[in-house]
Amino acid sequence: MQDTAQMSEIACKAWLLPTGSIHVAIGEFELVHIIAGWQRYIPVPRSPVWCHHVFLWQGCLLPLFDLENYINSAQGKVETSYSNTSDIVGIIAYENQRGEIQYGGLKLNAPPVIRVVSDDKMCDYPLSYPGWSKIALSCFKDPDIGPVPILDIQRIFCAKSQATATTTNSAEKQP
Amino acid sequence: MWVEGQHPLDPIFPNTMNPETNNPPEKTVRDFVKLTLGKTRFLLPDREVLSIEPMLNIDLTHEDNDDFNFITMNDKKISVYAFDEDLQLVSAKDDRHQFCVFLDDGQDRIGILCDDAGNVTLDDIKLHELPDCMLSTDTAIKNIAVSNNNLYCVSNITNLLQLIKKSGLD
Repeated sequence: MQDTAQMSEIACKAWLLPTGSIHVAIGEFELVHIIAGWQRYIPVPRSPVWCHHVFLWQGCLLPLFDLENYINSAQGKVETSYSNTSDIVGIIAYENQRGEIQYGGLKLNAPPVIRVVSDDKMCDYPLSYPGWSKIALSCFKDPDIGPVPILDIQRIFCAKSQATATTTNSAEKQP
Repeated sequence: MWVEGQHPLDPIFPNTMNPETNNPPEKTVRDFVKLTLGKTRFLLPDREVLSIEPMLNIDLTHEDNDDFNFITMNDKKISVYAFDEDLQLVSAKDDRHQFCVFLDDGQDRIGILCDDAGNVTLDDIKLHELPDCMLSTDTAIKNIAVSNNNLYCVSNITNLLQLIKKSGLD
């Protein structure tokens, strides 16, 4: 009983990120900055519909990742346009396959909030998207939001798109 | 008037990120040709551009198949292609195009129709590789050029020909 009590006390902080209608979490030190959403984005032709723009941040070239669009595309929901609007962009740090620190932008629609997460809050992934296990490490139950997947940042930003040639800007380009 | 350009003899992007040393690219001055396709601006290496011709000077021939267009020069057919701003092949019959940029890498020669084209010299330029999550099997953009806080998509004849080939129009 004592061991169980000690386990439940092991907790760490995580950022709760509102991305469209979806909430995800990342580790405390994975979010390095937040910036206003009105950056100067440029579209990259033929890049995936969920990651179609790049922008400059402190001299680095960053992709702008739209997680809601990614999940919609994965579920075959047709997107009508490449969106480059965002209220806030979270600058995320991750390690690439060569062990180098890289940065990416994640579209947010509200400021991140900090949460304390412990093992006793672990729960199943939300049922709304069956592919969470491919892009998330785990999931915890937030008292206000419900199940919140903890995003696998490296998998999101390092995975090469499987997009194939399409004639329209549609969700035929699936993750 | 047709002006023969210089054929490429050395690497197009000699100071792209070196994967072995992981050294950042050196800052430098570079000459490009800037193409405008709709809202998108592309850079092509100056040394691959043979000439930029106003459409008024071009006698474009359309075959029965709308997708294949060419001009004839010295009894040789040069294929001419038109793209939209997302680099999807579109009909070259569209008369909105103002210029044709002829590209030659010493092996292949093609024409690309565009809304606008012109030489541009960019100083303090750095070439970045496209982030992994943006790479797709059918993109002709492999690099983004940054010059004085401006961003440009960079392509070349090899990547454009691969894209055309994947579209089944080579």
